[in-house]
Amino acid sequence: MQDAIALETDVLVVGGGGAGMFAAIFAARHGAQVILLDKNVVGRGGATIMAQMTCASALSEAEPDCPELHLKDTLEAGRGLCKENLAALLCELSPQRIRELASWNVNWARQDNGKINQVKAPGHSRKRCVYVDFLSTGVAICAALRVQTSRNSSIRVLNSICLTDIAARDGEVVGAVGFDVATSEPVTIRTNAVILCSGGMMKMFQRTTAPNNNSGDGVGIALRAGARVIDIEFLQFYPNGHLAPRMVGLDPTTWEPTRVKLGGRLMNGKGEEFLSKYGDSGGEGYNTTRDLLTHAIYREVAAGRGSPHGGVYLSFQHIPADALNKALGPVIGIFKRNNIDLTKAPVEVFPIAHYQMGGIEVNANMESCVRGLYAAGEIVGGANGANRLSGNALPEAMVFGGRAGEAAAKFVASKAPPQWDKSTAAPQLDVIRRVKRKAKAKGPAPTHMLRELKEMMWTKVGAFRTADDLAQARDRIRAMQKSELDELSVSLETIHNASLVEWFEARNGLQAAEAVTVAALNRRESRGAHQRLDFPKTLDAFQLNQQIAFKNGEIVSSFEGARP
Amino acid sequence: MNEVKYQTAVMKTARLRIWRGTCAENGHYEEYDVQFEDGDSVLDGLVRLRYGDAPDLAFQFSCFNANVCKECAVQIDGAVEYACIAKLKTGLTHLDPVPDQRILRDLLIDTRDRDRKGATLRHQVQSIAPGKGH
Repeated sequence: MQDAIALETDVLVVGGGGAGMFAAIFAARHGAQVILLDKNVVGRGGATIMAQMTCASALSEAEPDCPELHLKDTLEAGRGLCKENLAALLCELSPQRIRELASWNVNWARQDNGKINQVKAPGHSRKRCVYVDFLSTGVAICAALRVQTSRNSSIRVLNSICLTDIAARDGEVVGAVGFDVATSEPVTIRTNAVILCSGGMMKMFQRTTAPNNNSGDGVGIALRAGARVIDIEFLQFYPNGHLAPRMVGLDPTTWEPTRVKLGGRLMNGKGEEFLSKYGDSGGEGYNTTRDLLTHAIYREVAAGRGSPHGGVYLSFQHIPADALNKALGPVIGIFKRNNIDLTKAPVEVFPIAHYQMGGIEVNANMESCVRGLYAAGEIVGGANGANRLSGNALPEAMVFGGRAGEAAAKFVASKAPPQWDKSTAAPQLDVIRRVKRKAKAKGPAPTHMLRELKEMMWTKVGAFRTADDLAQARDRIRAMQKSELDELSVSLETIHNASLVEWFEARNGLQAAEAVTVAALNRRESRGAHQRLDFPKTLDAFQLNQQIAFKNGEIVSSFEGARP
Repeated sequence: MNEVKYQTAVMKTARLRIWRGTCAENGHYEEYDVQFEDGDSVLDGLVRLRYGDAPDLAFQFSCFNANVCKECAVQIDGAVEYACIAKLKTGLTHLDPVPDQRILRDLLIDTRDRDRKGATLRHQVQSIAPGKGH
């Protein structure tokens, strides 16, 4: 049998989105040699590139603002569960990242006087969100970061590497293991520091905004390495998710930025406005936070007042055509290609799985409880508590990525390369070799399991949960892990075998899903994005973060204090 | 919850004739039927095949219909287009990899920089002085 391809580096960054690219840049800046790898394509796969508009930053270019106010808004939206040190870091350093990106030619939308334009997004008390027109914030950020990482001689960019496990000894990272997707050959990376920037798990929902790669790999890898996750039950459902008519070529999240710019009227199937029934204070513009809006739409549809496809109507018909054109620019053409004319008819929207608030538990240096294991971006839990503000995800990626890179570089500076021998990472490599042998098996493909998991998460672990649904999901997930995962078969192909990648996605996705169902069952209250039909009130006794760990082959849970 | 009848889409059938193989001398065309509703993209069809009749079909994508990652370019009836924008149609549609590129497998082409094209990771690692990962 061929040996694994052996790599070594000072700092390994797993995932090449906004968090990963900033982690690599900052690690290099602080003296480390870096490998930056991605299961797909660095700077193109992942969620950062899909970000359409808002990026929150207390720059004070549109009106007086400060990081303390941004923090206050973030804590309030987080419904009492934010880790204040992480939230404060995000708010404090976001302006620095915006300005550095400007120096890298990101063309933030400007006011007539040349200052960066900032808009007020739901839950923010100030005009705080910067953006790149039209709906190109993520595209512009990723383009700039691809240039910075590819020109940096200390950063080695590797595409199509699927990372499967961390290798640790005595509670310290010694490296990681994966395979080269292009050839199916195993890969080992000898390193003292790994930064997980692999994004969220939201692909594991049937109706989702997530890109194809966000399959919960970070949760599974971290738990198996001995790290903890917190707040994993808090998964955000984005209320204004496009539902009908069928639209391709534009992200289904497009209605929120459209509403931030233009407002829009939300109506039930009978054409009635309904938000005030659910506690929305109304007023000018679009200002309902995501958890309240998701709740209101779900309730209205459940009461039998939905639109033809089971959602609610969103209308811009009251807005003059020239105001629409000015706000939307070339996006009007994309709507037209999809037979959408906002002057003539409303669209239908319904909540859609979007973002993972919870994730790996880290300190203010982005280090987990495993020495040398860091995390940044959506995979980190705690900064946004029970509900995330629009615009806070990009700063979470960029601020935490840079902080993790800097901390990891400093950590490894004084360390010799870790000792490796044939037994180091042998169990992790065995998993890969065993899965590859499944090419001769006759079971179903991994996509078969992914499809079932996605449907189950959407129907039983969605925006509104009950003990029965959660318990059924948990038990089915455990059965799938115990006796069905190993019966799957992968394709015989060695070149770019997606089914091999999908087996590992199923392994990690199941583990992440089990963590969510267990945590959701334990949290017998409703708060932010976690809503229990059987426990509809928010209870003071649950103003605590829930930690999940993987011990002796089992998911275990405990609650801890929310105040740092 | 009240029982309400919601509109369900009218499903149609597209026949996709897709290049399978590793290069011009080592491949063939396969035809697949895939169900779709009006407005679905070619990428929707390819993913449906991966979840159904052709689980080892090789093609590149990420953002899945948002048209931002720019990974999913293929030849559709002879014209290069992003699979996530092109719409499925009834009847026959030809799918080939983007022309004049080294084919990795099926619709997947080698998009790496010129100095790395054709070199596997193992080859790159072995051609570098030992002791350093890069």
